[in-house]
Amino acid sequence: VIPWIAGASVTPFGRQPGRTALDWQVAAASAALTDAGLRAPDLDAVLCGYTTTAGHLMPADLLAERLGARPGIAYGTSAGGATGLAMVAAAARLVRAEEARAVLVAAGEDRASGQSTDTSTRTLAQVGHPTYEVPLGGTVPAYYALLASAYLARHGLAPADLAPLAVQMRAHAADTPGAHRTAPIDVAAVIASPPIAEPLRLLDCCPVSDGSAAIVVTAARHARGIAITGIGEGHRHQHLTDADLVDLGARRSAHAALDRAGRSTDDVDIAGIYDSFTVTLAMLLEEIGFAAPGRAGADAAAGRFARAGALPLNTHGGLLSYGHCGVAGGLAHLVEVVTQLRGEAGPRQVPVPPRTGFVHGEGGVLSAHVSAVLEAV
Amino acid sequence: VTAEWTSSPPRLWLDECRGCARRWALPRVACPHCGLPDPRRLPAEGTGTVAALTVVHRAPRGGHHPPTPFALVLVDLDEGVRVMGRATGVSVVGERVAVGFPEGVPCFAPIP
Repeated sequence: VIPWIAGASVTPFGRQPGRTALDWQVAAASAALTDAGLRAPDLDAVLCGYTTTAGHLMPADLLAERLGARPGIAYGTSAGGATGLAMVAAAARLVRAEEARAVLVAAGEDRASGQSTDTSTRTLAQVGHPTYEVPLGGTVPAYYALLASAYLARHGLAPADLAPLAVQMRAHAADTPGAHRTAPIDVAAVIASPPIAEPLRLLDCCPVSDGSAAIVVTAARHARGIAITGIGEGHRHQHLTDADLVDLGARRSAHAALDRAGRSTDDVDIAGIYDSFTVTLAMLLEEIGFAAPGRAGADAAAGRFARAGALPLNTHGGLLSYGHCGVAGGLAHLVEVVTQLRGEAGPRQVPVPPRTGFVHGEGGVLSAHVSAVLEAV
Repeated sequence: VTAEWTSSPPRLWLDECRGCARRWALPRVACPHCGLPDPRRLPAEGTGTVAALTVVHRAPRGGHHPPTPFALVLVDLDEGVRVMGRATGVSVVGERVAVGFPEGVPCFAPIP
């Protein structure tokens, strides 16, 4: 049984007060169901991502009830930024195992307007070790800044060498309705932006947004369906202190997915890769093998990740510019790749019709990795 | 897990597998390589080499942190494990450092 993505939806991201986490989830889930031509009672599994603003104990049951679904399987999932793709992987396994024929994967929250920036930063910093890291005062940007420092030192690079990744994401967002950040930027603007945790500056970091995303995975082939042909995961550490910086789990995850699909990185026509910070994107591209070591920023500057480039990447603008509302932020990459594989991206459609897509999510401090290969069949 | 920094005298500790002798810093109940449980807890000298360095400019109100800006480092201890700490006076990856505990948490400074 091949799992098909029959429906996919993402809302605008940004600071958009007035909706609760559940309201956001319902918005994307309803749109994804409509896209799939299904109604809530058709669902036999509902998977929902955790939220930082609501913190409900059983988000999938909560969402199912509100939608009008009475599934046989429902549970929440927590794997940090990898949660969205972890739920997609779980949905694909449920369908392949013939445990479910229609699975809703949903996520969304009022991460920007439902809490203060201080609360959000403190909550996220708890991915650090409670005894040996958090008491030192680190934040998620500080942990990634440590990664960036090691990355730049290893490759003999300067902070400006990561900036082209932020510039490319912003250029993509400028053409995407609903993107959080759309004003054009250049490398000089990234370098002139305020330091957050050196070597990372404000424009090396994603914004915090409100929004949601959802997909429907089915056993039945849908007319506009996209096949999930491979999934993979890697979980090598939780805390930065324990991370092996040359074997983070990204390569293992990506190649498990590609091998299962019978594909290689060379076959990938379009990619959606987690980009919470510029360094995140650089390290993932390089460990997976989409860029040579130390070259991701230079590749971005050369246009390799543009829509007309060799590897169109995060063509919606990514977390760095479409925005980041938690679990839905990582699902937005998948929704974009599905939209491009369907040929439905309108003015931002990549010029060469893509057939094979690759998506990768990451949670924690490059701790949890989930990859999927998607194909227009 | 006891924070050994807060014991007296405070110092850094590491784990060593009783079977394959591999080492790591964060406590775990079994060796991730050979699976043998009950690793040995050993004290570290507290000297090492800076593997990563950040200067933090934005930190949330209500968190555990010194006034901004402050520095954090990852240090590869001479015993072969990596730890995180605060830092003062450290300017570059690769610098040799030693740990102290002026505020009750590890803080690395260059070895003169």
